[in-house]
This record gives sequence, structure tokens and C-alpha cells, in this order.
Amino acid sequence: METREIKHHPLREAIAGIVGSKYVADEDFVLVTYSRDISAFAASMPGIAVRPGSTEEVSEIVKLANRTGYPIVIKGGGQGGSGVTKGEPTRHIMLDTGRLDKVDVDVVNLKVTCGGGVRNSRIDDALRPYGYMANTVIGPYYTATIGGVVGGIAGGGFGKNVASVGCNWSHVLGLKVVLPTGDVITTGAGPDTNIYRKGIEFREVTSPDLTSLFISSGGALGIITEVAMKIYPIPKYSKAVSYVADTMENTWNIQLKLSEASPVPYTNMIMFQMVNFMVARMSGDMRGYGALFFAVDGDSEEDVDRRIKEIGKVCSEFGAQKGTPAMNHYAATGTTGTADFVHNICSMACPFMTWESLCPRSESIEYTKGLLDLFKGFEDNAKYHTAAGLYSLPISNVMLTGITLHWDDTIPGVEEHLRKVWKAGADYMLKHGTFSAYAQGNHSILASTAWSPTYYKIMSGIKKTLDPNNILNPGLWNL
Amino acid sequence: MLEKYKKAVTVCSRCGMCIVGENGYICPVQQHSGGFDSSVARGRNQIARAILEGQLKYSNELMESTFTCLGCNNCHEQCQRMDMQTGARGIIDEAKITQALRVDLVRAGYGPPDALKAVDANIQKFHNPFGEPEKKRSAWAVGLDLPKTGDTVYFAGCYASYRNPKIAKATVAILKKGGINVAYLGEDEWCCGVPELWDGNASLAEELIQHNVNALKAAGVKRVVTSCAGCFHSLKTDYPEIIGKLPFEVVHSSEVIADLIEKDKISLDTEIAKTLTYHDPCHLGRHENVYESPRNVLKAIKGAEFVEMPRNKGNAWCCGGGSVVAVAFPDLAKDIADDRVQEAKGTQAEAIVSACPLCENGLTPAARKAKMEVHDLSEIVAKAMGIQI
Repeated sequence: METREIKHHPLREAIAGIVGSKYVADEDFVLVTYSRDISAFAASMPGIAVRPGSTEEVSEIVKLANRTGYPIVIKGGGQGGSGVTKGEPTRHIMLDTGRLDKVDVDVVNLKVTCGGGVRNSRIDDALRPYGYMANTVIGPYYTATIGGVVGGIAGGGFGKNVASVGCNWSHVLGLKVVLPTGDVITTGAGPDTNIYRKGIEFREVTSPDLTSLFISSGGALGIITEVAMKIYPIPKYSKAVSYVADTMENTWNIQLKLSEASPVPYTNMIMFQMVNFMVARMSGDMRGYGALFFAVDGDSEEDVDRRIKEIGKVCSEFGAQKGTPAMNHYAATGTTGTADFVHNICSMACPFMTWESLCPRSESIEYTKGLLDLFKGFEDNAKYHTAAGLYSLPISNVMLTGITLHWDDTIPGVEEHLRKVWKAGADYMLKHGTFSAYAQGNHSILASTAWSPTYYKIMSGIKKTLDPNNILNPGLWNL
Repeated sequence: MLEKYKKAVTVCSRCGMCIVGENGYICPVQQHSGGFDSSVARGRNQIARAILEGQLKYSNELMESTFTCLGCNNCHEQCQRMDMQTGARGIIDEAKITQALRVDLVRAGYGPPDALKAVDANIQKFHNPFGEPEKKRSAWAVGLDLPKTGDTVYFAGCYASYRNPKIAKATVAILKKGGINVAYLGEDEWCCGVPELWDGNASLAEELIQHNVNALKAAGVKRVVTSCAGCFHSLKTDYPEIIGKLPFEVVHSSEVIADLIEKDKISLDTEIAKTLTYHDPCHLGRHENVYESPRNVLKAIKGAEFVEMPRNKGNAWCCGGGSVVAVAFPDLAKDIADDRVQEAKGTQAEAIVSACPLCENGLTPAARKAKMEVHDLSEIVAKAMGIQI
């Protein structure tokens, strides 16, 4: 047995004084578990990890970091695919928000207030007994935290009803945020925009909309410790249907045409390319290009059936065939909030990185074809068992297209290959005026390279004002 | 030994399905420790990977943390990771990975925790974890005239033999009443090896396994029946993995009892007017997929009402006693048992029934505080058959 002197992080004792010694760790074996996300991006070891249990504790830690000059990097569910924020390896404080997991349901006021570390499924778990649901994300439903989704994904995430009610930013009523100085602020119609209010009541306020500043900021401007969201009744009737379209053009046309309708007939939909490992298993002998999964909610069975008929009509118009019972089952479970729509299909087979972006409808198919062709151009893909799978869904006035990159983690050198492939796609996305929906790690760094000088000046000014010591997620967005 | 699981730890997606699932939080240890990722499967896999890649060294702190895993397999149950080529699920066997890391740690001079060293010494000397004299093992069977050889052997296990002999007596009485001529090895029955498999003492585990298999072979056994979920999983799955195919079948008493009821060989017609809930032992449920037999047995009891806990079957919360955690970290085990009892209490059940002496032992103190009863399945069945133990 080798004996080694244990060298503690200089802030261990002080942080333990804030959160209790149980919730602070600086042992190598703990830190290594905080060094990566799900992607193939390089690891970055923190110097110490802490799991605060309240906004007040987060605030104290941030103040301590400011006094001592140790930066803070935030971790929610760890489901990010952008690589962990680098921070200052072996020195920075990794702040795990997992203990900020309280959920306060207020049915009368149609809102739920959740700790920033609550996993999305837990919000619906708390709302279900009341007959309500939240619109968080279609995936990763069980693993991502609401703070991570709101802060780390463009639009605050895409919820179950994204087709009918838009991105999550529109459901967020307001946030409680620990600013990089340690000050705490509530946004939206909360006690900071009117000192006579007790909680966050609604979004519209008698002030500029500060909530939007923190949505998809990646945590560069503050730590989201509470999210107040609007809640919706669980629909009375839900049905699901699936189709297989033969070509990419027809797959696309179906999505574009259906999303033009008013109201949109489906509550949610997603398209996965048939080559997807899971789709291939579900679709049996069926052959085609794209598998389209639809969930349809309504207040009456007649209404739901009418919508399903409408979907069927458009799908038939473009030659699509009805999916298998297994596909319908997936559409039903994957889109009702009881199962994780994206996670099941993406993470069951392997880890993944993604080229996910919002793209103007008019050019989305050509843009996507170009990205797929770019992937095919990498000769080493076969060697590293690297595969790409396309998914898409119309959101509001744009198309969300994603290409997941899958790989065999056991092949030496595969991660370097993946990083090279991803970077090529990222450059392609930027040059086409779009970019990944993730406001984290490497994505944020690359995205900010396309900011105009004026935009950069404004953002860096905001960062400097809020974070004079550059203590929170330094380097994120190149700020 | 960890090297054997290199592929499994490498393919872990680090997605975190081992933290929260359909029934909320998944890992009891995470919920009752600081909750760092190092206590859940995705973190444990990253630790194992870092060790295998030479990026992390052993330490006493790592050893302590590794020995907190309950081996309850809830993470394995929830893990969605599939083999890309075959589509098979369950490719990351966290319990086996933890066992392997414990072996490697102990071989490198780290651990086991002190409380487990005493268990090791007891098993080495007395072939039971309690340090009880070997002669006392068969005391429960005195007067039962059980033969030492036969087609069906009852394997009592250490807990039923030394700590709760009513379970052993009840099981044998039920089997006999059902027309099964049951044999018993007596002092030739040694500890099944479960504590050693989890203690990191692989060589002693193998010695125990080899001894028991030889003794069972010598008894001419065709079927081994055990009322202990730990012994059951060990005999049925660990034994063949370690020493190869066994020349006998291994069944749990709940399966045999359910079969006897179905074939009308026994009837549970002495009324027990109570509301009962069932706690799935991890080794019987998630590890061996035996969920329905014990439930069918409870539903056959006259006058009893059966209710499920919210977390049941594959999602059941561990009793806190798994993988020798109850010995090494008794406070942690107690907290986890409290959770489970509170969950049972919430169903309005009056009694918790389990099918493992370890679970019964772990849940009893918490249940006493909550004014609930805890029974082993064999005991309550014997009572329902009007058998006095």
C-alpha cells in the first residue's frame, strides 16, 4: 500500500463552513467524476466540488470565490454535449446544483417554482397528482436539470408542446439568480421588480426583461437557483401515430406542410432518420428515409381523431406509410412526458455529440444535406465506428435539425477523431448563419467567434459589469 | 480484476440515468451521502475508467467510497445503454464492477473497512460472519430429523441459522407439509460466500463456494432451496460464474411455496386479517427477476389485503443492508431502511413482508419506530398454514 500525503484545496475548510463538510470534496476520485460531460471533448479537472443546498449557500460560495480568486464552474445534470467549461483546471470550484431540488406547486396561480438542480422529470412527478404538467424538455427528461436547460440551451429548451406553445423561454415566469458577485436577484414579476411581491408571479414586468438575459447564458452571468414556470393541465386525450417517408424531400415536405397549419394538428413531433439504431429496431421490415413520430393531445377524442386524420392526409399526400405498432408505442410513450423522447433514442445506443441547430425553413433541407455530406467525407468514420443520425422538428418559424454523432468509445483515438469531425460541422454551421442550440462549453466558445464586434462589446460589457472578477465560468462565450 | 470490465466502464455514456428515473431518485447511497457523482454508477464507472487508464491512484478515501455501494442494482435496472451491435441491454453491470474494484483495492492493500476485517476473520475461522461456533449452525434443526442427503436440500444460510432460526424452521415445515422430503447439510453448510464476494476477498469466497458445491454434490442433491435472497443469488448466479456449471438447480423458497399453492398441495386458510406490503429484496428481484412468486403467495393468504409500495419490483428501494454496507456503514444502512419503512407506512400497510432474512433484519429497527411489523415470507406463510414455530 502506497501512503500519500493528502493535499486539500485551500478553500475546503471555508466551503465546508458554508455547506457542511458532507457536501464538499476535493479527493481526486470525486473530482474525476466532474471532469467530463457526455461528449468526446477533453476533460478538465476541478480543484474542489461542492453541493450547496440553498440559494444562500450558493451566494456565500460565490462571495468566497470573489474574495479568494478561485473561479466557479457550474454543473447541473451533466448531460451537456459541449464539453465541460474549462475553468482553471485543478483549481476551480465545481458547483453541483443537484441539491437545489425543491419543487413548490401553486395550482391556484398556475405555476411551479423549482430549484435549479431539479431534474425535469421530477417537476412533472410533483405536478402529476394535481393533474398538471410543465413544458421543460422533450429530452433529456430524466437527466438534465431545469437550471441547466433554461441556462444552457437556446430558448431555454424545447418542451413537449413546443409545436403549439413554443420554446421554454415563453413558459418561464422568472428566475432567482445568484449573480457573479454573490448578490441574489429575482427576475420577472418578482420581489426585485416590486418590493411588495413575495414570489415570482408572472413574466411581464415594469422593467426590462432581465429573465431573457439569463436564459441560454450558459451560466456566464449568474447561477440560476430557482425557476418559476407556468403549468398546464395534462391533456384529457392523447394518441400517437407514426409514419415512414421514402425520401428526404418527402420527409421534409411533410414536416413543413404540417407545421404551417393553424392550429398545428400535433402537440409534438420528431423525425428520426431510419438509419438510427433504435428506429431500425422499431420499424421492422419497413424501408424509407425518415420516421415521423407524432403525439396528439386534445380535450375530446373526436378532436384528437380529427387531428390524427389531418396528419395522415398530409403524410399520404407525400407517399408516407403508417409506422409499426412499436413505432406508435414509442411515439406515445416518448411524447407524453412519461418517457424521455430524445434520451431513449440517442443515449441507449452510445454517447453522442450533436450538430443541432435552428435553421430558416426555406434553406433547411439544403443546409442539412450539406452537413450530412460533410460527415460522409471523413474517411476514418468506419475505422472509429462513427455514425451520424439525423433528427428534425419544426419549431415556430424555423426547423430544428440535429445530427447526432455516435461512436465506439472503446476504440483508441476515437475521441480525437470525433472532435475533428465535430469542429468541421461546427464551422459549417457558423458559416451558414446558424449554430448549435447549446449555450455551453466548446459550443459557446465557437458561437461567440461569429459575434459582430458591436455585439461582443455589449456582451463583454455586461459580463464585466456583472462579473468584475471574472469568477463565473470564465472563458464561456470567450468572455 | 477490474480489467475484466474495461469495456463496460468505457462505454458508459455518463448520461445520468442512474441518478433519476421514472420513480424519482435511484441511488440510496447518493441520497444519504454528500450525493457527489462518485456515489452513483456513472461516477463509479468514470473512477474505474480513470484507474484502468492510469489517471487515478488508489487511496483509503476511494476504498471507503467504493465500499458504500449497496450492489442493489437499481442503477443497472435503469441504465438504457445498449450494445450497438446486438441491441442487448444491461451491458454495464455495476454490481460486478464494484465487486471487482473492491477486490483490486484489497489486493493493493486498501481495505476492507475495519468492520469487515472482523467478518473476514470470522468466516475464515468459523465459516459464518458472526463468529458463532460451527456447531451452533444446525441448532435450529434439532428434533426435525432432517436427512443429510436427498434430492432437495434446504440451504438455510447464516442469518436464518444464527440470527433468525424461525425462518429456517418455518421454511422446512412448509416444504414438508407440501410433501417435499427436504434434506439439510447441517454443519457442512458454510457461509454462501456473499460477504466475501463483497469484501474484496475473492480467494476466500472461492474456497467457501467450492466447499458448498462439494458438500451439495456429496448429498446427491438435484435441487437446492434457500429462503435467503443473498444465498439464492450467490448459489444461482455467482457460483456458476466462478466455478462453472452446477449439477443441481437452485430455487428460492418463495418460488417453491407459490408452486405448492398453485398445485393445491398447501393452503393458507388460517386467517391473517392484516394489510401487507411486500419489500423486494434486491438479490431476489433485480438480480434474479423473481417478482411474482412472493406476491402470489401473499395474495393467497386468507383475510390478508395486499398493497404495493410506490417503488416496487424493478424500482424497489433497497433495505440498506446490501453488499455488507450494514456492517461497514451501519448509520448509512439505517437511514436507507428508514426511507423504505416510511414508504411502506405510506401505503397504510400494517406489516412489511420480505423474502430475505437480511432485509428483515435491516428493516426491523426502523419498522419498530414506525410501529410496523416486519415478517419473512416463510414465517407469515407458516402462520397462515396454522403451523406453530
